[in-house]
Amino acid sequence: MGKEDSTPVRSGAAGQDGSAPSELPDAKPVPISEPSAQTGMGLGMRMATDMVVATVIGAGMGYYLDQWLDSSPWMTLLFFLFGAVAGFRAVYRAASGSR
Amino acid sequence: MLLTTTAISVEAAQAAAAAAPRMDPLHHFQVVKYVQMAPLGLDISVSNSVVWMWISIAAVFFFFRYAFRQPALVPGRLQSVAEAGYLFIRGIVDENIGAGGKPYFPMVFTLFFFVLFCNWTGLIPGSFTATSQLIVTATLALGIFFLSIFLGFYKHGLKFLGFFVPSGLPVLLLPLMVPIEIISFLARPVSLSVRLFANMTAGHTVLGVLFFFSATLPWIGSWLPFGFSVVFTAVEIFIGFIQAYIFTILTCVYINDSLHLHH
Repeated sequence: MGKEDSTPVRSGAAGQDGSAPSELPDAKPVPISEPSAQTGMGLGMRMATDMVVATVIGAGMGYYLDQWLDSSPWMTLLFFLFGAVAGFRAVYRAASGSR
Repeated sequence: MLLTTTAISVEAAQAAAAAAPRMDPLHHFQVVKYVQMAPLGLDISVSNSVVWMWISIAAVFFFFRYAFRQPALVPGRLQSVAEAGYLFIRGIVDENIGAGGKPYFPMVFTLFFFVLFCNWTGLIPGSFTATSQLIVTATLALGIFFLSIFLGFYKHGLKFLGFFVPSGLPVLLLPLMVPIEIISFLARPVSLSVRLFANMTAGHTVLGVLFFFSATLPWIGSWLPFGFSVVFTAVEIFIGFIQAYIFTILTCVYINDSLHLHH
């Protein structure tokens, strides 16, 4: 590795070029992380936890803000909603992102 | 009379319960300290968790040493596996960080194989799954979290705070979106650690229950949980891989977010 980093390593017909025999990685066309096959389950797990955790974090923040500002239950309610929105946003991002 | 009989039956039931094998699927999550050490009030005892992390690290190390003991241009079987692992991580780094991701490759590579082998060594009967402890996964996740914060401020200075302000947003919506962004940022290490910990704990608990049933049921019923436990072990191997994969991908995503604001 060295010259072009950002290019996805998918060298199908490498081997003829014979430029750098010491570079083991480019020698073989190994299918790298086919997104559809491998990330389906991963994506699902990401979304599930992201959504729950964001909501819980939001609610927790609201709870402590309530204790601090003595404004129960408004901050809890507000931040619960913020957290839920953040969770949905995370899911949306995970689904729509390039990943 | 009635009283005594009930008392006897209760006693008998208790005796039977004591004699019967007790189902305790959480038993193998118990942290046992082998060597107690707490200099300066800092608990650095060597527990089974620590030992199995060491074993995992050693396993990764010796696997790669052994795979590359005689590196050949046309790789052998083990070398192919090791190279595929290398390429796999490189693909993840390239795909998710892109330009400028090279310096982080060693860290991501180490992280992936550490988590993967912690997950997999935990499947050995009698072993301990280090990644089933929230403190272990939380330490990893917080490390990544603080690294991403540090990187953001290091690369962009105070402009990194713009991370919490989505681009192209009307000013009116800012008080709504900034808390949301902050929450989703704070949720990152939590979801990262909880996901790994919960998956490992849940899977191993199910395995424990299945093994308990297959060990204690009469033969006519035990084949069913036993068969399930075999299948589920395979599933668990897959889950161990998937979790390590997600952990790695998200690490790359977080590093990428810090490196390239508003990509």
